[in-house]
Amino acid sequence: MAYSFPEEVLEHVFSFIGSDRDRNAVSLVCKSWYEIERWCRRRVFVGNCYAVSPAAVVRRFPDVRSVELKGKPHFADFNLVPEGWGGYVSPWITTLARAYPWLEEIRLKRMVVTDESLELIARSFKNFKVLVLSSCEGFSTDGLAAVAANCRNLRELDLRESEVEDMSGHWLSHFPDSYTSLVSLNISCLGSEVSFSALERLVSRCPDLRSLRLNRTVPLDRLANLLRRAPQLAELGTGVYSAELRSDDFSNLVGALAGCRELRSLSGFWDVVPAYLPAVYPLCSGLTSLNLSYATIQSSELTKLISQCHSLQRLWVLDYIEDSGLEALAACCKDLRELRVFPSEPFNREGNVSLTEQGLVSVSEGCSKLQSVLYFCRQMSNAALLTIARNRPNMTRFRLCIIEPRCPDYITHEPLDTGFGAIVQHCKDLQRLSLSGLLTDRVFEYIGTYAKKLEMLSVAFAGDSDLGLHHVLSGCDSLRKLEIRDCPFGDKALLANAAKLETMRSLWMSSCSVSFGACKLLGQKMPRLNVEVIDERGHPDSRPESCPVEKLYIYRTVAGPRFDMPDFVWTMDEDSALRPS
Amino acid sequence: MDLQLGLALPIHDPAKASEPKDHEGSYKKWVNNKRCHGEAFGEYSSGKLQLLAWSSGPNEDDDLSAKRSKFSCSMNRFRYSEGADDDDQVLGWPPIKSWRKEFVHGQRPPHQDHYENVHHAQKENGEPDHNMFVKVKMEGVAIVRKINLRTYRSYNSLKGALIAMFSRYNRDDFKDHASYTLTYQDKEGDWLLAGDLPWLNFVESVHRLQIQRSRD
Repeated sequence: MAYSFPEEVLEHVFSFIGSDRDRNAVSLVCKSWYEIERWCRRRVFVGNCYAVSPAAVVRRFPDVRSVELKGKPHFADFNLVPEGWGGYVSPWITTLARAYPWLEEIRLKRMVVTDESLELIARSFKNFKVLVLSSCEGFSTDGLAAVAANCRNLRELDLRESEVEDMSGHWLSHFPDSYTSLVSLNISCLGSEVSFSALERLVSRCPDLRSLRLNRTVPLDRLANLLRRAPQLAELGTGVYSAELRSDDFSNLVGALAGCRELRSLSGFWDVVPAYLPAVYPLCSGLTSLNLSYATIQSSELTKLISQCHSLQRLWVLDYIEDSGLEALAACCKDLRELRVFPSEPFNREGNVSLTEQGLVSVSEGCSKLQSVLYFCRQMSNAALLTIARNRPNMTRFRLCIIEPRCPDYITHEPLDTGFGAIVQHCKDLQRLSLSGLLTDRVFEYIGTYAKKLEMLSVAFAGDSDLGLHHVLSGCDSLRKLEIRDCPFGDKALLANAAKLETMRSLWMSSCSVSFGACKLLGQKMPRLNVEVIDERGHPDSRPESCPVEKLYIYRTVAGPRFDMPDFVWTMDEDSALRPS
Repeated sequence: MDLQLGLALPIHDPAKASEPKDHEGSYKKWVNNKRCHGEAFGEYSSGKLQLLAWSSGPNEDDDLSAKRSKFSCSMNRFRYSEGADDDDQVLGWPPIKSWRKEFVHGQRPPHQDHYENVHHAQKENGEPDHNMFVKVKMEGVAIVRKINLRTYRSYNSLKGALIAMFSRYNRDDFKDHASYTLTYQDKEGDWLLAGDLPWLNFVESVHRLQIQRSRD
């Protein structure tokens, strides 16, 4: 190429290309672009830690500063993935430690992280800045202490929704006195008391601290002291909100909160007592994000709070808000983009609150920027879904959970096919969809026909036959993740769309009708797919090939079968297909 | 690589095959999105990656009812109670993250046994539990609700909240506190009139609540 730019110029141009997708496209242009791109790639995202080996990543990208990895399937969140399944980060950390001494960021989701790995991180990376462990497990506060003691430039430590074994609340005091770089700390998942004095000292000496999410052991009377030390906070997760307060303590808290003029996000509110809520009222007008999903307070108090938050963009709340509260939300919060309504009593078949489809309809009418919804309720109708779809064609994420499986339209007793059909037809940019209620194959026909940008689909207790799954696999061009449980989908749809599976990140099917024989065939003929059968009843070879497997996890990979499978997971490679059954 | 059309399990009839979908397009898209080295897929670009051709006709070849029965078997396996809270619970449904589920039950997260112990020990020492959920029924209203007694500070605030809570289910005028009576069932199962015990003792002894219109 006579007129090609010098490498340095291209490298500079590439440095402005942020998205993974675009970087990937760049690397496919020609060999020289591939080479230049790989040398200047600083961030790597691996959506499935078994899709590629750490060695391959390190070989291709020699100078990476930020690594993001995901481990277990999403359904692990709901206990559908047996304990010990895998998702171990240790081989990754070992390889990264050798290859990238200047690594600055590690973000992990649903992975098993040991204290040894945390210690290795603390020792290996000279300029380590960000550690995000989201829904991870396997480590203790000892590992965190090692990170605190050694990572002098740490800016962010986020343990959101992780299960941390609490060895000692004193791990926070391992941050050295000279350490001042903390910007964001999320310890909301920790069960035991942290050392308040260490926490107060840490907060005092970090002038850039913007985000602080405490755990529920921090009582309300300690909060004021912390806040006075960090008036610059933009995000706050309170501790427990119900300690008995003396009136001077309360006015102290009101004063401290009022001093935090930049607060935009509030969460926590564990065990909140309504009487203490007025302390946050002065902040309301500035709030863009409010997580009240642990606040067990009644609709009237919630409404009083929310109706003062005119700038709110994101609200997470329990169904105690009820239809009336959502109506107030729709009237007051015109900037709302994301709404999540969680059930206060998910295992109670009868409703304990007056929350119906009407609440969501109200919000879809009043909040024109709404694009992301997670909504748990006990009744739904096609008419409501149609209204929501028409009101909000800009919706990109729509997750509806009607708590009773296979619950029909409560007015007409029809399946909810047309309602969800309206959602996919009107919301052209829909990327994520979760279905619930009574659904036939027809809804999947709608999805395959209209949901061309859908990337993740979750299905439970739906469909009548293979045709449903076939519609989705053959129609949804952008589909990357599909998770299905308790649906009568089987071999035929799976085998007919074998090629589609290679274009996706993963497929999860549990309690469906896929036979062991089909799994074997798929694994044998599609070497780029790892077809893993998860069966806690013992080796599937001990049953007839036509017998459906308990759980099936299929993902594309360039790393081949994994080596860390527990004894209830079998990979269907060529060897296993040849083995006599 | 032997990936010819019609390779299938014995239960299927390749003769019924409809024209296979063009996989060229979706394949190319994948190549564009992939993170891995292109050479890994070199031999693979010739499409037709169906292991079984889809026939759009009725599933005459597989026995649907047999499938259904298999399906219902597999369903039943998952109908067991997980935490022994509810008897007829489906594992992982509704889809609530496990740590939120623990919160819902007013407990601390799992896998922290010694903290559980601390927690219980505290309770035995007379320190109050975080939440105290009890069921409330209002006479004439079908719906039973659960409330957290810890969020109230007096009989008066409780009664006011209950009246407000149930008023939407009932056309009666609910404004008048005095025309309603609050009764409760204690741990021994006896129904008693609320208001006699000091508030904190009351909170400790309530099993369930009922609110009704006074008879006089």
